[in-house]
Amino acid sequence: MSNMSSSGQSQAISTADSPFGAMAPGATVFRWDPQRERIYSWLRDQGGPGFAEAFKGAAMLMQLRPPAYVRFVCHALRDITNGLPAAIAKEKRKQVQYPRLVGEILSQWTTERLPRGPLVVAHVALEQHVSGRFEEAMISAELVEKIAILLNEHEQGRARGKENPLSFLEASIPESAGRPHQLVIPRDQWKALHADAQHGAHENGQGCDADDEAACAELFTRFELLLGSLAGSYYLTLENIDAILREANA
Amino acid sequence: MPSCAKPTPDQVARALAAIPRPEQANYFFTKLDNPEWLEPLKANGIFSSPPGVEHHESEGTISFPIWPQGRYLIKVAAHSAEAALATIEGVPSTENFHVHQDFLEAAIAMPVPVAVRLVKRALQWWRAPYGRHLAEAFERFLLHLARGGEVTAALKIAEALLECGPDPEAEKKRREREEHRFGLDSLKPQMRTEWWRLRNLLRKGFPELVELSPRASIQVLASTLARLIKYATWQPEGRRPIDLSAVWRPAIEQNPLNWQRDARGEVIAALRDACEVALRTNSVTFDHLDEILGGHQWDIFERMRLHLYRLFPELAGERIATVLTDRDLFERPDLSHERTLLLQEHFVRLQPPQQQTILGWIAEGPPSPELSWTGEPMKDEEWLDYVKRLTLRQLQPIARALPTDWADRYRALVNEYGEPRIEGSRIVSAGWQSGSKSPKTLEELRGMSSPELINFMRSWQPSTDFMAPDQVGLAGRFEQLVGEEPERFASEAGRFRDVEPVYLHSLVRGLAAAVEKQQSIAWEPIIELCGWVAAQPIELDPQRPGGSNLHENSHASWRPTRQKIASLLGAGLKPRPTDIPFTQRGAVWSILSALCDDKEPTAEDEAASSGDPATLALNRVRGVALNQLADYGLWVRRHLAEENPSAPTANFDRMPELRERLELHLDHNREPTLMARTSYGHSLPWLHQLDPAWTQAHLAAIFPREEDATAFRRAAWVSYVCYTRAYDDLLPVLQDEYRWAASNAADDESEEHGFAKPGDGLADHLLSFYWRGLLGFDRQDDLLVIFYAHASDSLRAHGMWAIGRAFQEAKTPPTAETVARWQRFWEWRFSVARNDPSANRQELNGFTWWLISDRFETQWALRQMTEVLRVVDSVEHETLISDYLAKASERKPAEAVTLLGVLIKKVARTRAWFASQEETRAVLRNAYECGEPAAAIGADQARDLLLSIGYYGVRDIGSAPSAMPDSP
Repeated sequence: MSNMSSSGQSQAISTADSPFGAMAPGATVFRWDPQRERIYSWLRDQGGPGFAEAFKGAAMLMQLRPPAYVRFVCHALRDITNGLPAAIAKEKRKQVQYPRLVGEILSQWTTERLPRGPLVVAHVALEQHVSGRFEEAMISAELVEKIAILLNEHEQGRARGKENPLSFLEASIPESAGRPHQLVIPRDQWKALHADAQHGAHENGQGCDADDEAACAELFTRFELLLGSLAGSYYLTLENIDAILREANA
Repeated sequence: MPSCAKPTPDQVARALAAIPRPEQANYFFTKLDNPEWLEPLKANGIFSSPPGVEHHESEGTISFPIWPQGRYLIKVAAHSAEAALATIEGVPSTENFHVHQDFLEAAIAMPVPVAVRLVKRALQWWRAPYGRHLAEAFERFLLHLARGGEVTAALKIAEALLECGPDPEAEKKRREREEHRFGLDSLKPQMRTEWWRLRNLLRKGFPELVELSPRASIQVLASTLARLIKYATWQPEGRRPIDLSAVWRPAIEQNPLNWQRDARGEVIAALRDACEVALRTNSVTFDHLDEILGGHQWDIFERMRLHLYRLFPELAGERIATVLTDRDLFERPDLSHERTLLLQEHFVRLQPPQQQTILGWIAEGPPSPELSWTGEPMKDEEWLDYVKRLTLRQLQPIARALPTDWADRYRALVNEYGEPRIEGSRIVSAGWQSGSKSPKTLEELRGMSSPELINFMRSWQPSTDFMAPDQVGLAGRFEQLVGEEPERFASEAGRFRDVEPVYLHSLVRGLAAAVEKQQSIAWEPIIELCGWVAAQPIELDPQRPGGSNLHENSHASWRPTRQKIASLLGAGLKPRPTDIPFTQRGAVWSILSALCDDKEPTAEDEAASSGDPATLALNRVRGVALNQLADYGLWVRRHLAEENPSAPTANFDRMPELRERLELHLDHNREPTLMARTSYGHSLPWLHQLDPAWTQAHLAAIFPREEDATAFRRAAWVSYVCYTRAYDDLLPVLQDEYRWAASNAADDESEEHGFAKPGDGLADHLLSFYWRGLLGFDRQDDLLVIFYAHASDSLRAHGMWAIGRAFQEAKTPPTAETVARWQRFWEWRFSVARNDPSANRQELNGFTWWLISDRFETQWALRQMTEVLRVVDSVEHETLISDYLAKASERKPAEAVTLLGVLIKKVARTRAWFASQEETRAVLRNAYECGEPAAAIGADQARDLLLSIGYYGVRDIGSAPSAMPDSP
């Protein structure tokens, strides 16, 4: 991001001047520029200090590259791309409480002494506590209700996930409010960022290789570009676009 | 397209991440040149959501957003036509014509073999609800195809562009026609292309198509013309179609008589030109044309053939003799123009038997009707006369080629009726001439003495011929002469007693104009002549010598002259060195008094009149005379003071005749018109000046409060408040009237008062009084408070405008006290109006006039305007504000640039930023250069807003922003 800006505003900030406070051993400077400052301020004002700090931390990690920084950066970006839409759209961020809902079902299941394995005809015939025809199991209305709640919450959660980026983008790009065709690009980009961050956050025990690091750097660049474009200065945004165009048309 | 490097997925992803906002996308796609980006962008779904039509229900408008991706497609089309075509074909359908326009531009950029594959789809765009906006692009697409050899496809487009349908109101018009037995309104075929656009296509684009495919092009034009006529014509069932083209298209050739400008005319001209070009280049034969044109039954096609036969006789051959010796064509009057021209040129080449056939029909004459066109039985001598005149007209075009016996017959007719007047074209069609003709030029009149003039006026008899010189024409020239030599005609005025009133009227008019220009004249002869006119019976004897020859009957009475005399006296009573000598007081009064007694209008006349009372007063003898009474009083007082400077100022005691007359017209029974009350209204300040006691004693009569006399009160009030300024001495006198009007301010806009706007007048008066410190707004019963409680938003806006204009036009800067008083006023109004900005939008926006007057402290004014723009839902006069800001930013750069930012933000929501780039740049530059951090932040913000709406002309001002600005 910052290397694309021709504003000349990027500057090295010494450890003593850093807005991040104390630095890790060996790290002496950070690159910080007005665009990052804008993104930080915008995240703080629009979404809350937690998002701003997550961005700040991710930027710091990208600079310092400590062990497993790819996972931490992707975690931070995943949380921002996941939580920011609801925060900006002023919607209460409601997540499906799967552990609680599944726990309640499990408890009821157990109370009703329902089988935990597949229904086996011969076995069921010998079980005194399991009633019904061989191919069916009778469950109580109470259990049906609990299962239905889980399914409904799951469905609504998915729907919220689909809607959040749109309403958040309408709030962030007021000139496009009511013009869905103008929100297609940012919506798809936001979703792509989230998907890539989610993918990168997953640690499978093998650690990160050079490709993962390159992907993370690319992800962070895109993240800054998108946030920077939403966060403010058209002047700086145009410089970013000019840089992309120079490369594209070269 | 300089580059063809394929982008990496990361490059594309980065680009898309950088353009979430519409203007960023616009910027990117406008500047992206590389066609290799098309496929990756397409894979990212960039072309899958074209914008639709936006309907703004609350504003009752629709808009068609542009689609930046479309602009990129145009660029790609020239280099990767197949890819662009596939992309266009994959874009979901939309009714947004801007998207289709881009597709058409892309098609025009493609090689023709590729572009032609879009024709079927393009025709769907044309027939979409808003497709007609694409006419210009289709015209270029058509030519692109034609030039590339795809003439058939081009003709398909041409046919579509020329498509027309029936008048959507045809059924309604048909019912009206049946009900009234005649057509109240003509049928108007509906074309998808606007007439002026069609004209452009037919005159510029179509000729090229004709060159490439003449026969098919002519066919398209002929079919279009046939459809246009069909849908424009009431066609009775079972009869031969009659197009009446001789009426709406008198000549096929270019001819000034073809006055009507419409689609039919354009298509006829295009068809004619196409046929002529095709024949000239031997691209078609008359066999082809007979087949095409003969396939339509309308007269216009027959006329077209006759026209072409005349122009191309070698190609037409025997066809000419055939049509000229066709009895049916001979008897069809609608073909007369083209047939006569053809006959004129080719009669001489006909075989003698063919000539005899035609002459035989002429000799035969038309069948004699039993009744004349007036419904009376036709008299033999009248019929004979008609036939002889007709024969003369029929022979005239072929006069030089007539056999001897017919030539003798023709000469005899010429001797009897004179040579028929030929003016180029044979057709003598409806034409008109505005104004009247004078039998003498101004130069000729200048050379005549007054007795000669009078003698001519009395002896000259106008002809009854159509558009022949008449008395009104002569009177007009005479008036010009009087204006040139007022002294001469004033001193000789008495000589003109015996001429017709129409000439006397001109004499008085000419003199009145001279007096208004303060030219000195001898008044006594004029007053004497006016007195003589005033003493004449108003109605003239229609049997008097010369009286029946008047071109119009407006001078059938002395009233026009009497009315002009009232105006002349009014001009002579004004305080000028050239005013009427006071010795004429008795005579002047006698004339004025007589004119005030004119019986018109009665109350019934007034009720039947469509005008308002004040306008009526300007157009009636009595009204004009009553309007001069106050001037008479002031004239008398002025001269009495001159005669005896030490005497007390004269009031009505010294002019009892005036008092008596004023009281007479206040008597409801003797003067029942509202018209008369308007004279009191607009004379009130002068009447009060002449005699305050009398005026105050008669206020109740001038503004009667009885319920059944409200109309009289309104007439006087409207005239007062609209046509006089606010005089301080009248405020206490008219306190109750002002209060009554302020309480009814809401009604003033809903009532009809002609040109007068009493609400505006009242606002002007009250605000003038406030300006002078005579009114306040502290108490609930203050006039201003009452007025503002009842006035509409537009009326209050007028008040804001009036104050701003007054400040702007003040020759000297207002005092600090005045400025402070108005600031207090604004703060009052703003505190009230901001509570409901949408209901007070106009009034709030009216502060603009205050701002641009530049009479208030700059910082205060800028901040007030900023606050206004923050609360109103829409901005008016943004260019006035931005122009002012350039100036104000030199003094207060931070406040000016803040206001600019708010203004842009407000305007950009609904429309483009039209303010001058120079002014906008000046505001930003001043803000950046002043060194104030707040100004720089405001400038960053305003510049960003401008860039966000695509206003890139400010990108070079200032430097990159260094801090996060506060939200505006």
